[in-house]
Amino acid sequence: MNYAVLCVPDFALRALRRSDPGLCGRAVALVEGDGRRARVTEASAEARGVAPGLAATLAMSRCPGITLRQRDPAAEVEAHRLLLAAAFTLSPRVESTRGGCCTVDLRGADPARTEALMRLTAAELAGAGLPARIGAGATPLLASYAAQCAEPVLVVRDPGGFLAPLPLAFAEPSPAQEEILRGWGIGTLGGLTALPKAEVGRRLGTDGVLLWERAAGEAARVLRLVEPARSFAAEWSYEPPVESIEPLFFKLRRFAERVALELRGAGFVAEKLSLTLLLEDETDHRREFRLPEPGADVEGWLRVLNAHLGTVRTDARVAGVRLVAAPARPPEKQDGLFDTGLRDPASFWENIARIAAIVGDDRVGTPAPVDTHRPDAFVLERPAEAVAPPADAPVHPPCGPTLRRFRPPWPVRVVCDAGSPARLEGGRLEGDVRAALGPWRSAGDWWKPQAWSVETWQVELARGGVYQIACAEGGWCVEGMLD
Amino acid sequence: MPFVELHARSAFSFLRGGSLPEALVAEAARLGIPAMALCDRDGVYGAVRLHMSAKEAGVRALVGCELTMEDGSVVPVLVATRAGYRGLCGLLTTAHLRAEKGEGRVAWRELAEAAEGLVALTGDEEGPVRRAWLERGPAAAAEAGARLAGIFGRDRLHVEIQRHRLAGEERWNRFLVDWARAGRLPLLATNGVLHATPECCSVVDVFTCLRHGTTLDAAGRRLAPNRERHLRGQGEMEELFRDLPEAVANTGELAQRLEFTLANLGYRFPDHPVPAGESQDSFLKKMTYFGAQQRYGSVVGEVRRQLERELALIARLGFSGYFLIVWDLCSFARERGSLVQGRGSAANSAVCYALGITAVDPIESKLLFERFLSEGRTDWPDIDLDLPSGERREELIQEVYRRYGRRGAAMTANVITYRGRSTMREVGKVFGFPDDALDRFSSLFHGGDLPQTLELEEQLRMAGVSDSNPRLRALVDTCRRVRGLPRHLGQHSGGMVLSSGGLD
Repeated sequence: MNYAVLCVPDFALRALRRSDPGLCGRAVALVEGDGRRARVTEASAEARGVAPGLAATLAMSRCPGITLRQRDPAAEVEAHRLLLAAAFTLSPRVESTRGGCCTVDLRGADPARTEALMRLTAAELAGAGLPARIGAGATPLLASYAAQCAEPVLVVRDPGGFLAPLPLAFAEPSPAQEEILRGWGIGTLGGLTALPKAEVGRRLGTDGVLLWERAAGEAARVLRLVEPARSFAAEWSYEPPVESIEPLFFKLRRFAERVALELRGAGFVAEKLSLTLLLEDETDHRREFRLPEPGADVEGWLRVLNAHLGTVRTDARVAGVRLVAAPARPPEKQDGLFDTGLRDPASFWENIARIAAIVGDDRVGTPAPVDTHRPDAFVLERPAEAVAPPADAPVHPPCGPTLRRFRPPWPVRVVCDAGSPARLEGGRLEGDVRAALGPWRSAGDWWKPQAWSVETWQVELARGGVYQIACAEGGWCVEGMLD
Repeated sequence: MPFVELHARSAFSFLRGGSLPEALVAEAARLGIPAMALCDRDGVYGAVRLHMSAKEAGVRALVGCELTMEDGSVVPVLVATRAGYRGLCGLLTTAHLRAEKGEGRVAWRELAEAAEGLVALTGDEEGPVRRAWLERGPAAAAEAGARLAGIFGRDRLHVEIQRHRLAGEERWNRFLVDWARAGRLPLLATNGVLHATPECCSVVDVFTCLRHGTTLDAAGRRLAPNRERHLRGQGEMEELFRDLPEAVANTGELAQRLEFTLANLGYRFPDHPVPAGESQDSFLKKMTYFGAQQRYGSVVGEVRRQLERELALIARLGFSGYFLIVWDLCSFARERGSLVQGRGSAANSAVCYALGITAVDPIESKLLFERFLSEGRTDWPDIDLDLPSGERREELIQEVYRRYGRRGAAMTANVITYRGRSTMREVGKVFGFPDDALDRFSSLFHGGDLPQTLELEEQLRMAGVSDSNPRLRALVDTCRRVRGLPRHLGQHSGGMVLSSGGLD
């Protein structure tokens, strides 16, 4: 098992149906040519009585309700990229043989593992709307014959036994050769290879030898390898533009399936996704999603994307969509003995995404102190999935009363006596100051227009209670209460 | 007792201080501070400028230094006596000689050996006591303090208290006060001055970024928390330490104990070895007359009168050894076929001409000797020698080291200061301005000392920095403050300092 071939029967039709949710379960045929000259090239199983070569008008009469469509090159490119991505999960040496077919060099791979992987890949492609057949054999040609016979995976271990019953057409004889061989009573590959190769050559010439070699599955060739995807992106234009999100969901799923496969083939996972909706008025709506955990799980991606799309309102119709995955190495971590992980990280992040869609991205997260001297400065960081084990006891544990901060702080007017607060007035807190401690000063960002400086005091009111007050550019405020 | 600031750093701490010694002195004089000590990091580079400016301003300039110890802590020491100054210079020399530039560390053992004549402070947040308290708690801090007390004794160790209006600093100060009282150690109030005035704090922040190789936006808590580390007058310090009046009073007392200033440096120029029975003066006279006979044929008349006048003055000022040393070095160079010639005001001296140091006859040219040396002069005369560059000059330099020893001779240092282009390039980077704008500024800004014909804002505008840039004003202001401050030390191409015994 040196080579494998992945091929999709009726590729153009499959690609079209994969890109258009409206064609699902319907009788569809691809036609070529215009008007009366239009002929069916491929037809779906639902199109009863319709076969390739049939005139379009005849197809319509034989199968009322059939949808006739021209080939869609963009859909075929997208589907072929999916096929290539699947092939790259088997081996890094892949040839893009033709549309809907690629050949994989498997030399050096573990046969048992590869066979299991091929079955997995076939199932995954089928799930992605592109049922492929995978054949494997000692030569690319043998693998190609196997792929044509596979349901959906066939590994040829006995080439003679496999080839013998196959019709002669597999070796693609010329019409003249076919006629001669039929005259000899030969209709299978086994029949041809039973003849001595030299004798066939003497009678049919060089072409006859080549035909014999093809019939024996011996024809070897050098694969024209292609490079794996370097960017993990997908883009689609809608003509006409769409107004609802259903087509977007469908397309994003297809994109996600392909991009996830490409990432896996390259040994990456996605750490963030970037979604761009190209609008009809030539503006766009961009959004970046950092994934809860770097991975290539399509369903997880879609949950995050769908949570956002469910809340999006645009001023114009959507003319295109673009999805870009930022690659990252798969995370390798082992939780600590006392780490507490989330029971269901995906649900957790899905909920976070939903909340962010409602309140805004900048208002969801875990508060963390900012590296600044500014009091109470914090940012909202991505919540940790695992609670870190408790740190060592601090050298200087907190002491003294705890400050219970008022958010937002209470504005107040402060009457000072000899530079020290003497009375609080005009706010939610009033009264004479019995004792004042301070001031403590901090300042920063002097190089910016938003330079700040704060003077902080702790005051005890005559009527009771100890409060922290601060004076900044906006005047005095009560920052909180000391318990 | 008046308050004296005994822990101040200048820009000669190289990226750790924001003001020149002259600015510190001017502010001290304005605030009525009678004396101040400069404790620059790992050097006494700013001491002379502080001394000279303080002399003019009527402020007593005290000498000190922050020593970086082998464990990374920083011990501020103040020089009490000349022996202390000698010991401090010895410590610094030893530390700098054994490490890469800027990496010198003093071993605790060496500090103990050279502690005579020095007074130590417990230091600020980088001091050994504070570091131990922060990292390992009060017991470790007391242990670190005990080590200092073991080296300096109770009479020469002061517990430094600083208040910078920072929340939480009293917790540390309470520990220090308790520990000082328990150990019967004197408290000392300082402000750990980093800049003369609050406005200069921006320079310290910029220098902090340069030191850490970061920008103002990314520096975070490495920047100063506020602008409080500036010089404060007596009233302000008394108010700040009204619960610890002895800490303020002790500054004046300690300043009185610090006898040493650069005025009594005690420097003695090395004598030149002379034959038995000769003194420096007599040998100089002998060699001068010998040389004069070679130059003039006979030493009579005006030549004799001029030589006698000059020799008498040289002897009176005690410079005979210096002339002999220069003469000897010139002779050494000539013996090895190297061109050497004195230049500058030394050419006004007939003695220099007679000794072969200079090549122009000042008597014939009617040059004024007093331009070179005069009665009222107390500093050393300056005889510059022109030498060929390269191996010949290096040969002479090595000969000087051979004669006077590794610690008896040294190459002098150049203080490289921030100039127009370097200021904008470094400060601009710290502000986060793009490289291409700074490159354009550099290409438009002519170097050297030529006066600029355009304002800095105009030049920045021409470099593509918009007037509306929100950081423009702060950048221009900071550049003006930084320009002229010392950036680093370089080695002079040939200037040497000699001393009898050892420079340290």
